[in-house]
Amino acid sequence: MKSAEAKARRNKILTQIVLIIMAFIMLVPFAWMILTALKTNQESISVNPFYIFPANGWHWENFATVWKSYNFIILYKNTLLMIFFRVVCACLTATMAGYAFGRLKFPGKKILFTMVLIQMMVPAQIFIIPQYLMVSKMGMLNTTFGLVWPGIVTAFGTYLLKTGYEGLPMDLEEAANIDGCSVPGRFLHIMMPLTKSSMVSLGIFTAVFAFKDLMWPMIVCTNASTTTLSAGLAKMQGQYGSEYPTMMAAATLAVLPMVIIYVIFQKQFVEGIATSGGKL
Amino acid sequence: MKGLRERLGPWLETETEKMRGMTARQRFSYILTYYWLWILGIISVVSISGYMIYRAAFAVKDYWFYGMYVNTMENGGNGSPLWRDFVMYAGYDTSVKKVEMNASAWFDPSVRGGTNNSYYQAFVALVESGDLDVVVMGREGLQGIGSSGRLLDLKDPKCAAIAEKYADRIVTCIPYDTEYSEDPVPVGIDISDSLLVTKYHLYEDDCVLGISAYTQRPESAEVFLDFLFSEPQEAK
Repeated sequence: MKSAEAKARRNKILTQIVLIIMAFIMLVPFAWMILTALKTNQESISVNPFYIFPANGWHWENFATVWKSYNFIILYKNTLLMIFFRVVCACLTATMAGYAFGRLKFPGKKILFTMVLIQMMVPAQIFIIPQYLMVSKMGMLNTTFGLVWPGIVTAFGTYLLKTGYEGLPMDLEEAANIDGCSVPGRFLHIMMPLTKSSMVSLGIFTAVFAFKDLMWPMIVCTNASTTTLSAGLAKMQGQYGSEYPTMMAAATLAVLPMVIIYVIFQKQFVEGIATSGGKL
Repeated sequence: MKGLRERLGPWLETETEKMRGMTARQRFSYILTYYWLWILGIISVVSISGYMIYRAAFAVKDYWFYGMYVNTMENGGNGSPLWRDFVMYAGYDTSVKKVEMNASAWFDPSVRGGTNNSYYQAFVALVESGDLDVVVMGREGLQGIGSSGRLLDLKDPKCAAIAEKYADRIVTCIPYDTEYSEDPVPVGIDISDSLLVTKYHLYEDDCVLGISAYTQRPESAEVFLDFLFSEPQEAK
């Protein structure tokens, strides 16, 4: 009995050691980024792997340099606006489409849903050119609308919400139907509130993908005043390509909003991954 | 339409009946309580549609010129000295059409995996959409793009004037598509001694200009080339 307890304890300690090592490995790039941001250029290109901490003081001015060179307030604003509108649009359209596919009967439902699935199966790059042409012809280049455009509807979100609606018991809707509730009323007041967890998952996925989207902002927003953090960072790579501390300071500032969002919505992030089975 | 009218009529009558005995404040409160989502939806649709119509009607959509400078660490984008001088030289009115310069692209088609990034995908999207006019990069990289068929064959009648004017600077490549040609095809103009190197320092030495395969404005590429080989302060 005692040996079984000792074995369980040993396993627990071993598991924790492995987890600590894994967590350490995950955190090393972030620590490296922040420490490099505080070094001089000479220190940052030192090849000695044990040269981790700045030897000549902490150079906080790297943050000031990059903050002055690029208008981070504008970059934050553009990125947050893009994330906000993409999340709102994705949740709105996906929940309505998901309800229609999951609960309603209408002609062509299977064909239409097959089209949604096909959209999920092909690489996103295929849609870039037609989407770019649409945005360009509408005169929406260098606007927040242009940034939001590809995220207005989401095939993944539709599928996720359809699964969510299908998982709800039929009795609820039938009871509302007997009480004389219309289809929009049933959707709005009965069914939609019950898919809150799926909506939160979708919101989190949409926010993360919007935040790290590089290619689309690079194509549609070429002006410094309309671009996002990811594309702005890519531009900085040109300007500060050989100045690693400045680049790392910019990268640290760029990840800041997502870290704050994660800290606030940590529980929802974990639940979202658990609910949808997806990965960020 | 008839069905909608049949449904809306009784609904309107019922709602009017309900609000008959109410004060204006109560009516407002009633409408806001029961129809806030509809009102929000209508406002959103109207404002988004209005904005889209406004942009489609009044935004500057077409380009005078769209150029991309690949693998440069200098600022050659919109508003840069290069951009300003070129607009002045060409005499383009940017309130009518745009002059776009993009110096935020890093890829190298001459090395294995050198195009495996978002910058290259963005470049391909701009080429295929027909918006991009010229691309400038190192000789080997440009030959790599040329081999993939994304650069205009300078034997094309569209750019006969350029090919003739810069015949001594032609850079060739062998296409991957052997059905198109097994012989070297002219795809670039060597601009290593142009203002791009001597004045704006976008490249240290080796750089070649290629014209996008689907460009709608080969004449703007010619204007740009003329600018690159003009005296710095010379006006057209």
